[in-house]
Amino acid sequence: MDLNQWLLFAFLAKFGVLIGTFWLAGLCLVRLVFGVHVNLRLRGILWCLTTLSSLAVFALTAGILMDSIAGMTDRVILGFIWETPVGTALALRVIGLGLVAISLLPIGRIRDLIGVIGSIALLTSFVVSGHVSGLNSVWVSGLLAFHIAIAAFWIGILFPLHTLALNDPKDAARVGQKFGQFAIVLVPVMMIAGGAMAWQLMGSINALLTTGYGNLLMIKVAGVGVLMLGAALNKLRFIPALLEDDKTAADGLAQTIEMEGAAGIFILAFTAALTSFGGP
Amino acid sequence: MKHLLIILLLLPSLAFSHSKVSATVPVNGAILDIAPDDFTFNFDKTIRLVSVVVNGESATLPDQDAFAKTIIMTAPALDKGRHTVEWRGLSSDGHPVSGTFTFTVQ
Repeated sequence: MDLNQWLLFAFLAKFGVLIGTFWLAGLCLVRLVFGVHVNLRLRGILWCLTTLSSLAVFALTAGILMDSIAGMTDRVILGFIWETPVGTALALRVIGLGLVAISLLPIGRIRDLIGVIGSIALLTSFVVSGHVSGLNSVWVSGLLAFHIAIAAFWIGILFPLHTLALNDPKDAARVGQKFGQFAIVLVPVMMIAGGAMAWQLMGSINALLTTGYGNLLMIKVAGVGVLMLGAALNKLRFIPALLEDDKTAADGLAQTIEMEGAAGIFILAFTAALTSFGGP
Repeated sequence: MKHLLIILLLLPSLAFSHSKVSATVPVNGAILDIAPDDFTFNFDKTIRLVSVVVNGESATLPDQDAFAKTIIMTAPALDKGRHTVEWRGLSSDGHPVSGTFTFTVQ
């Protein structure tokens, strides 16, 4: 395979890890916080996606390193990679996926707490690897932890809220209103944390416009803008209308959640590109 | 989706930017009177060398107990002429890195 093919596979695997991890962790978080029903089959599918793509990211690192498919199973090379942050991230994902798998079993209310602990391990895997970890700064890593936890929480609410909007608008209004109260605090924190990280990574605001990495970061910010537009529409228009028993608002809420979901996928795709194809 | 893939395929020029070889001995483009006994790789971050290919043939790697910024390896016997050294390594941040240098023995 040539470099472009390797990198395309690496991008797809990273995209799978991001989609699977953020969605799965987000569902565990909103299940504990809001007590909403979360489809077991969906969590099972996301668990499989995260497991397979996590292993693929690790093996592809070896494949790219040796420029050979045989390299993907070379025990010596895989051992070298295990010693790096890529190995640490895989270890955290294995622990997190194990705990989340336990949370899928019918073992009572404790399973939600176990699911959240597993989610924290899963999300921490992004803090120990990637460009931010290379800065060796505790406070920037802390910002990243906040940033990804809030992003996962946001992604996690979308599917359950969409299901509620179509089936139980009254409960959708209750959950949506409660999420809105969280979002008023959490979204600005997420944005400030993201901005501060970008500044630390790039070294200057000008670099956002003059480097390839900076331009990609700006595209990602545009995707976040679409997400925020959808969230604002929900909070200011559709949730208040549902609270006043306006049944037509449920369709509007469902549609803006679909738009937010599309923006979320777009953002994760670009995040995968940013972390697969190079650094600042 | 098609446009996204095109953008993504154009991005590999950004790749492999995580660790750079800051110097090699012999330096790239060197003209030497005698063949070198060793190759020295100096990197800006610690790495492990996983492959060195000299003129298309795999060279024996040195023992590496840990990631290091400077790696010295015994060079294979080389005749007069132009020689190409292609290397691959794993940066301690987990990123694959690679490079090539050439030199001439006259």
